This record gives sequence, C-alpha cells and structure tokens, in this order.
Amino acid sequence: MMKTRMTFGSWEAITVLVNSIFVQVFLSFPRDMAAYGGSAGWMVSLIITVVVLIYFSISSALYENIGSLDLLDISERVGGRVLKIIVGFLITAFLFFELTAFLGGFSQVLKMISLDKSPLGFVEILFLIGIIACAYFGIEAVVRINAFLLPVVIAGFLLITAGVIPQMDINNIFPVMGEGYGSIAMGSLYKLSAYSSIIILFFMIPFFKKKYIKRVGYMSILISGLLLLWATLSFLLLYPYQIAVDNKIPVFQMAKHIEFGSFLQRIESVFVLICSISSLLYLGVVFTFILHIMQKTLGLKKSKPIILPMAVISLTVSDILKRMDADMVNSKAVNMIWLTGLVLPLIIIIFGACKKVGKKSAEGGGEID
Amino acid sequence: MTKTKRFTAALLCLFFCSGVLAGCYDNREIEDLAYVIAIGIDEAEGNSFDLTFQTAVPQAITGGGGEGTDITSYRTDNFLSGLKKAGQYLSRTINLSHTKIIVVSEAIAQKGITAFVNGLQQGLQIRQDINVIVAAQGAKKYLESIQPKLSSNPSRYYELLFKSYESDFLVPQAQLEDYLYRAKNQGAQPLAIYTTVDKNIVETKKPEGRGDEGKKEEGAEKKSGGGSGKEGGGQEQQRMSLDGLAVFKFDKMVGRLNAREASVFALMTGKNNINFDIVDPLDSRFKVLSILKKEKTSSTNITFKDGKPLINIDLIMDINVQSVQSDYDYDEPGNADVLNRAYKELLEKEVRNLLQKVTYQFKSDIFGYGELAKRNFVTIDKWEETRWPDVFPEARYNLKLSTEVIRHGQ
Repeated sequence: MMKTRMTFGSWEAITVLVNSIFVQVFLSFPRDMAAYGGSAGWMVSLIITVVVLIYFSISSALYENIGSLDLLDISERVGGRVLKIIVGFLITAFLFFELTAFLGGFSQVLKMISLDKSPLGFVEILFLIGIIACAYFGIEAVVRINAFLLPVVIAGFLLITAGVIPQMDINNIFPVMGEGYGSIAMGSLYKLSAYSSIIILFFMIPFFKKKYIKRVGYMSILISGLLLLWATLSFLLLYPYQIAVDNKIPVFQMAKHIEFGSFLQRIESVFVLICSISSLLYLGVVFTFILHIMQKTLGLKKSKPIILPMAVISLTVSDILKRMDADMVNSKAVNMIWLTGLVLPLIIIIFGACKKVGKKSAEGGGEID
Repeated sequence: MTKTKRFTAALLCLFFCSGVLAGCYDNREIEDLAYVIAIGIDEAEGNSFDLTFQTAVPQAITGGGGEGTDITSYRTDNFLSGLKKAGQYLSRTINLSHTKIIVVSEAIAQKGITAFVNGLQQGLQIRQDINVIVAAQGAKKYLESIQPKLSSNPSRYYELLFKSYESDFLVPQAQLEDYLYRAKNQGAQPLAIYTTVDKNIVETKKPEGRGDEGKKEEGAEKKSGGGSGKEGGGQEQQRMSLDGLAVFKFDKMVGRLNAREASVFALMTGKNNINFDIVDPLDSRFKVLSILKKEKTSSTNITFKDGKPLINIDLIMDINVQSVQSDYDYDEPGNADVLNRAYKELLEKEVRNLLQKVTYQFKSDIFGYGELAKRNFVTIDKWEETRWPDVFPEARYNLKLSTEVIRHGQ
C-alpha cells in the first residue's frame, strides 16, 4: 500500500499550539495569576511569555543542526532505539498525565456551569467520545479543525472580555507590584507550566516545512502570550485581587457581568460554547499525538487498534486522580511536573544539536496508515 | 469509508446528538422550577431567622390570572436548610438565577449580614448585580408591601423600579458583589439601599388595574422616590419606598444617608446624571429642578501628610435646567449666573456636610477613597500596614467645586 505524506501548513500548526496554551484560561489561569501576583498578577503572565520566547529562540537556534526531525527521531540518532523508547515512554506518560488531569478539570467545569445534575463520569464520557472520534480521524483532520474553530473561540473570548470593559476599574491593579518581587518571581517559575504543551510543536515539525519552524513557534507563543495577558489583565481590572482569588471559573464569572440594555444579558452561554469547543479540540489533539508517539516509539504499523484501550485507560486514570487529595491542574507540585514539557525537549535538542543529527535529512512530512 | 458507511455514521451521530443535547440528567422544565425574585431575612428568636421568599407565579405572568408572586416565610437557623424547606413546601426546585433583591431587616443589618450572603453566593446560580436592601420595618413587611399592579412580571417590576431610581441615588456599590468585597477588605466600606415607610405618599385615585380577577384590596404600585415627592397610589397598607442608603462599617450597619445625601453621594461617585432641585434663587416660593452631571475631567487624588490622608476632590458639574416653577428665564445669561452661584453654594455645603458625616461621624469610607490611596504604595503588604479604616477618620479634605449652567442654545 502506498504510504502518502501527511502535511499541514504553518497556520494549522499555530492554531493547534495557541489552543493548547490558551485553553487554560477557561480553567483557572487568571485566578492563579491573582493568587501569585495579587494586583500585579498580569506581570506573571508577561514574564512567563518572555521567558518562553527566550527558551524557544534557543531551541530554534539549536534546531538549525537538526532539520525536520521530531524528538523521537533525534533520540534515536543520538542514543539508538533504547533512548528512543525511553524518551517515547517519558513523553507519552507526560502527555497522558496532562490529558487525564485536564479531562477531569474540564469535565468539572462543564458540570459546574451547565450539567450540574449529570454524574461526572457521564460528562467525561461525552469528552471521551469526542477525543476518540478525533483519534480515528487522525492528526491532519484534527489540526485542520483547529484551524477553523480556534478563531471562533478567540472571537467569543474577546467578546466576553470586551463586554466587561465598562465595569473595569484601573485602581484594581494597584499597588503596582502586588504581592512583591519574590512572589511574582516564584509564581512565574511555577506558571511556566502554562506553556508545557509546546512539546507538541517538536512533534509537529515533520509535518510542515522546516523553514516555518521559527514562524510557527514565535507566532504561537506571541499570540497565546497576548491572550493570556489580556485574560489576566481584564480579570484583574474587573475584580480586585482579594476577590479574584476566590473566583471559581474566572471567564465564566466575567461573562455574568455583561449587560447592555435589556436584550444583551446572560452571555454565559457563549462561554459554555467556546469552553466546550476549545477543551474538546485540546484534548483531541493531545490524545491524537499520544497515539502518534506511541505508534512511533513501539514501531507499530497502525495506531487505530490502541485508540479504545487508551481511551478507557485515560478515563480510569482520570477517575483515580480525582480521588487523590491534590489539585492535578494547578498545585505547585504538579506545576513542577508540567515543566517537563519544557525541560525534556530542550535536553534532547541540545544533545541532537551537539551531534548535528539530521543536518542533511529530507524535508518534513509524516506518514499515515 | 464507503458512502453507505459514511451515511450510517452521520445518521448515528445525529441521533446520538439529538438525544444527548435534548438533556439527559439536566433537562429542566420551567414548570418544575420556582423562580425566587426576592429574598428577605428577618430576625427571629434565639439563633433562628425568618427567611422570606417572593417567588414568581408563571401562570399569572402569562395572563392566567391571580397574583404574580407568592410570598412565604420559613423559620430556620441556616440558609441552606431554609432553601430546602422552601423547595419542599413549593414542591419545586428553587432557582435563584432571577433573584433581583436581598432584603434584610435593620436589626440584622446592625448585627452583620455576611454570614447570610456568603451562603448565597457560593452557588453559581445567583447573579452578582442583586441589590441589597435594608428595610426599617422588616424584610417581610417590605416584600408584602410590593404589589405590582401595572406590571404582571415581578422581575420586570424590580428592574423598572431600580431604573427609576438611577437618576436619584441608585449606585452600583449597593449590589451584592460590591457589598461582599467591601465587607471583607479595607479599601472601601459597604453600602445598601435603605427603605422605610414613606409619609410623603398622598392618597390618589386608584390606578387602573389589569382586570377584576384576583384583584386584592391591598397594595398598589409604589412609585415614590426620595425627596422628589412623586405621587403613588395606596390604601391601608403601609407605603414603603427606597429612601436613601444604609452605611456599613465592614459588615455592620452604622448609620444611614437620607435621600438627599444619597443623591449627593451618587453625584460624587457615580456616572449617572442626577436630579437635583434647589430653591429658586430669584423667587424663594418656588423650586428649580435640574439634571446634574459630573464631568469626566473631575478627579480625586489622595496623598499622605504625616501619616494622615489628604483627599483632594475636584468636582466639575454641568447643570441642565429641566423645570422652573417661577416665571424667570434661566436661559438669560444674568439669571443663569445667579442660578449657577446658588447651585455652587448649595452643592459645596451639601458635599462638605456629607463628607463630615461619613468621615467623622460614621468613620466609614463608603466613597472608596482607600482604592485611590492604594496608588501611594508599591506592594500589598505596605498598603495593608497602613490600616486604612483606622486612618480614614483622620482624613482632611481639599474640595474644589465648579459648576456651569448649560443654557439652551449655548
């Protein structure tokens, strides 16, 4: 059977990455910023964006000696099959942990705001059906769906934040340094984890042209950074920091404030829609890439037979994580685990760049089965 | 995938979505819900309190006749069991998503209301723009005095009621979200709307009702506003109206502002245009009614001198004359100047009186000057060390007021 090359453009790659980072706004990202920085919480989101830009500039510079290889290919060329399998399992475990934690998180959000009588498992199954469908359609389809749905999500988000502008108060971002330099610095370190999904970029590289690596990386970080900054700033301008930290679902609470005249009220339904779309896209992308990485790590010919077992395992793990007495999305300890998404690729890229692997490798392009 | 398989898959998806989206566990019929429009809290014996719910009657609203609302009280010692009792009595699920007001008795306000409203606002149903009202005669009596006859939709009645007060003294700081924030933090102190029996209401012809079915003798729509002496209708029932603002220090009520003082407060802090009347300076038998608007260039800033706040207030007011009872024409430049000077003198006196009362008598920063004072500090720790509620009663004011009468055709 002829194997066809699967490719997608830089715009599709940018939208996938932007959604993967931006989706956290629908959970508690703005509230976490307020918790770390107080009235200066917006500084934390600015600092982490700048740090990740520096991180990416180093990574992309090192990629000059690597070509269009993804992290597994680099590991194989550096340390053979053994290293490839180790790295593959590590990254799979990391993404799997991310998937299950966020599956639980998004299910809880949807249950709180919309499906309050439904059992949590029922809501999770709804998401699971969506991500299974994404996996069956494959990476290319999922990425292209991201490309045309993400602008809708962002438009909805901007509508909500623009709608509360009349109620914003500039005094809410004073005192200007908030909780102080120390707290802002620590918060920035912990919340670098917001960009942990950037690991997906290093698996998308084979699918688009090598010359677009920098463009995809910089554009996605800049766009998502601006969105995170605006989400935090608008939230803090609306709510004083003292009550910002108590808000359960920040953007949803913001949507409740919108009221123009007698007819434009109760815009929360827009939030429900964009949150559902964004979370489903994100979980679908992560799950699809987990299968892709597993297939490549183990050298499987097809990934479709493992879709259902992986889905069931993710549901089970999500259930186990829920019973644990820890916040799997936002706690400080878990934030340090998320930093794996930044640290591990950098280590592999440094080794790959030192060995100059794949300098003469062919232009990008994945395979479909 | 063959065409048949694709078609079958699409059809299955459609059926699945139709079933799930129509609502599984979360389908809700309007008839299964009891929409609470107003909540009242009154003191009772011991640790108990009386929880009063004013719920909408959908049948009456859609023209089926009968009263538009049902008022029932429940004695309880905590809010959540009160909600449960109400749900059991009404055999419906209580829904707070259309609640417009929370009314507390003055006795409860003086002891503190945060414990009650904390229990309310944990759920995501309740909206944050609910108005908090302190009723001098008790919450239940206030709710019972409201018998909208011209409006069948009780929720709409409250919306229109508050809209009619926007040009008097209705301020957003009297809403639930602001109340909760101010009760727990030092930058500003809470406010609530104050309501009491209004002796200014004069007997008039009964207003024309909707029809004869279900019409009761007591109650008629109250349209009285503070200070302006609007007429309303009414019979034996005590006539209550919104009559100013209740001032709190943290969670406890420490005093009240009458309707006039509340209007001055709204003028200083709000964005709405405010109705303000004055004795006609050229004929003291009559009055002049104007709409006052605070210019956007008005400003307030706060500095500290010897650890004490110095509050510089620069107010610029535009005066739009609406109604003159005398024969004088205030469009003439000379007369306009006279009126301008009279307004300036009156406003300066009323603003200073208000500042004195709030700062030195109530010692409660309802203006929110603490929020401006924060700009003088770099970190939250430094700001909290100042202990603004203790420092505020030592504040000194520097007031600069300028007014301008806008003449028609100017």
